[in-house]
This record gives sequence, structure tokens and C-alpha cells, in this order.
Amino acid sequence: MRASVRLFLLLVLAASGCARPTHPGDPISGLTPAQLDRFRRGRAVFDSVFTPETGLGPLFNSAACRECHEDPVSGGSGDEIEVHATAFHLDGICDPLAGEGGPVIQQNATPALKAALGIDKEPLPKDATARGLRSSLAIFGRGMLDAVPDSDIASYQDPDDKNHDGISGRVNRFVDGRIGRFGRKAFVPALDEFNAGAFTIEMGITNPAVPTEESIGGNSIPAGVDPVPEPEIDQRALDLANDFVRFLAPPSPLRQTGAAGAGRHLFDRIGCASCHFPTLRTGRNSVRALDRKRFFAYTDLLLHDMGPDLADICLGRAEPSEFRTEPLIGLRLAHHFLHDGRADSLEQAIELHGGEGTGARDRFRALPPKKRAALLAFLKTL
Amino acid sequence: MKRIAGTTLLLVLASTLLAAAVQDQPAHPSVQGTIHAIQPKSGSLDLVTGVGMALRIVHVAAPTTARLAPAGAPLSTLKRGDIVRVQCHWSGKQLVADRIDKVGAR
Repeated sequence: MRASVRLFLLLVLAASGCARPTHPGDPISGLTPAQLDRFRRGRAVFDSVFTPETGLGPLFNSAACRECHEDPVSGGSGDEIEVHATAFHLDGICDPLAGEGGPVIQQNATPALKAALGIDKEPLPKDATARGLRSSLAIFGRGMLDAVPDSDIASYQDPDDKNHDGISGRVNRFVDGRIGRFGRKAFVPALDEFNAGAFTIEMGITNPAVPTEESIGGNSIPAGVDPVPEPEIDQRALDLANDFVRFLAPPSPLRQTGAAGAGRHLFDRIGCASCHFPTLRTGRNSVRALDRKRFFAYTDLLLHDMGPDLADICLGRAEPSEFRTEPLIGLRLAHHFLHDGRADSLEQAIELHGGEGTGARDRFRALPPKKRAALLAFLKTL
Repeated sequence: MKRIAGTTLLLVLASTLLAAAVQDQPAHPSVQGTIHAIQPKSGSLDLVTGVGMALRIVHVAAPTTARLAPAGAPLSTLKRGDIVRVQCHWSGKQLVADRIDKVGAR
């Protein structure tokens, strides 16, 4: 191809907004060299393996962020399953059991804690009314989700189903009243807060944002069990880890030709897109690469009633059967589906949709086999 | 003699650390969270606050004469699950409410 033709094609591609496809683990495109440097150094913090001598525990789920987010690269999914527990009361109030060690029940204890208390994990709080399992999902594109304005999320709500489409999403709210978006129950409002909390609840690594260790069922940690002074990582390390997660790109969908192309239209037609909004747009952002960008999200970040068969814990305003619409970013890389990983295939995951997902599920069931296959082929491009 | 000197050194170190810790705390902190428990008669609030999924209970003493800002309703109108913002001051290790605003209801 002549150089002038090649240049012309490149200019056409650039003008049409086509960018190089992003692969799992890539940074979002358009970062400055300084931001790229922070992404790389942040990945090193994300990959760091902690030990009791560097602050791990005394209660923890994993020894590194990467341990649960590793497949196929840092930031991907993991095969770990977490245990959460809360108490849902008859007056509709959800108690996250903060006074009994909080909603995340750590499944490991350091040798020093085992020696002191004879426990090898956090006991389930005595006041818990329900327990929920949580699979470890990929966190690609979370910086983009973080940058979607609250006002956009709120505008998608239809709590009274005024448009009579059977879908009545609503926002969840954090304990201080802010709109939530992260976690399977859309409880946490901001990515940096989710990460800072995760250092402590998942690894027992205190940091400037969460300078105190988790209690053990509400009781203090025995003296001498956790000798590393708080905070166990500094603000610099926390900020770097945040930047790695924030700058992780959503992997570009694969080409949607043939059956997958037809499946994309079916996704809209049978109502999947009523909750799994294909694209969202970020708001104004000081990071140019995150500023007013439209991206493939396949979520509305709202809570939806998914029916009694999937129900587990409450959290914030989310009732036991309400879950956030799962973003389908990087879906092709997942091995298990739904909040607790109970579905081993996409087809099974769709079949398990209840509540507000019933209509779309039933329309999927009613499709002829060829069209069902087309829809699944489309999902496997995401 | 050595024991006295050692004890004195420890006390000096402890008081220095305590002073540093107190200096780290803002004099008039503001706490916003969900009411976990309220005892208007004894004058106390337990709030659920936190960062991400790391949630904590913060205990705030509230004078029995305290009123909700700005309307002046009594604290007994607050319920578990309400969201409040509390301007406080430290009295020793105890947070004491100066102003309580209800910012959301269940």
C-alpha cells in the first residue's frame, strides 16, 4: 500500500474516533506518560504479596490484590469466593453488622491470631440473618464507571415502573447517603474508597483512609497479634494502587460479525439492554483520558429485584433480592457467572434471572435455537 | 533508680505519642452516617460510618437538651436508619455533638 494511502486511512480512522483495541490489562488510551508511569507502579503495589511481618491480617481473605484478581492478568477475575453477612430486619432496616466486625467475613487468620484465639477465620456474626457468597470478578473499566456522574445514574431510575416495562431500577445509597455504584449491591460510592476499604477488609492492611483494623466479631485484636504500626501502607502506595485500578481499560469487545452481530440486535430486542445499558458516558474529569468518554459498560449501575431464588443479604437500601446490574465488561473472560459464581455458563446465568429479569429471560427461552446461539455468541464478544 | 528512670522515660514517650495522636484529630470533626442506635434520654448516638466496605460504629454523646438543626425538633424524632451529619468536638476521648442535621431518612 502506498504511504500516502496508508496515511489517509490512518487519518480517517483517527477522525472517526477509532482507537487501537484495548486488551485485558491494558491502560485506558490517552493517558499522559506520567499517568502511564503511575499505572505501572500501581500495578506493582496491586501485585505485592503481604505477610504478617508487612501487615497482613490478623484477619484476611487474601495476601495480595492480585490473588483474587489475576486471570488472565492483574485486574482480572479469581476463583476465590467471599462470605458476606448482614441482618435484615422486619422494619426494612438493613444492619451491616458494623459493630460485629462488618459485612465481610474474613476466611483466614494469621498464625499469631490462631495462637491467641484458636480461630482460623472470622466467626459469622451472631446477629446475621443471611449469608451471601461473592465471586471475585474482573475489575477492568472500573475507573470509567467511577467517572459516570451520579446525576446520570439517578436519571435512569424508575422505581415505580412508570413506563410499565417491568423494570424498576433504583439507586442504592452508602451509610452517609451518597449514591452507591461499586460492589454487587452498588453500595460503595467511589472507587478510591472501595479500594481503601478493600486493603483493610480483604488483607488486613490498614492505610491512611482506613487506619484501624477490622475487629474480630466486634472484639478488639489481642495485644501483640498485629505488631506492625498503623497505617501499614502509606498514602503514596494507596494512591498508586488506586491509579492502577482507575486506569485499567475496559477490554474492547471483539468483532461482532455473523451470528454475534445478529445477537447484538437480539440483546436489545428481548430486553437485556433495559438494564444492561450498552454504553455509559463519563462526566467532566481532570484526567483527560476519562473526561466525557462513552464506553461499553452494559450496566445501569442500579439495583434491580432479581427474584427470591437469587436473594441473599441486604446492604444499604438494597433488599436481599436486589442486585446491581452486573457490568458485562470483559464478559468473555469470565468462567463463572452471577454474584456468587453459581452459573457455569452464560445460558445458565440467563436462565437464573428472575424478578425484573423474568421478561427478558422468558423471551430468551422463546427464541429458536439459532437465535439463542446468536445472542450467546454476541455475549462472548464482550 | 534505673527502674524509676525507665518508668519516667516510658511515661514521657506515652504522653508524647498521645499528644501527637490528639493533634492528628481535627478539633471539630464532622461525622455523617446512618443511625445504628439512639438513646435520647441518656444522650447518645451510635452511627455507622466507614470507607468502602470497611464499616465502623462511631459513638457520639449528645446533650439531652440537644435539638435537631435547623428546625429544633427533639432528638427523639430520629429513628434507626436515618442519616445524620453531626458536628462534634472532643471531650477527652469522647465525641460530643454540637449540631445534628438530619440529611436523609430510610
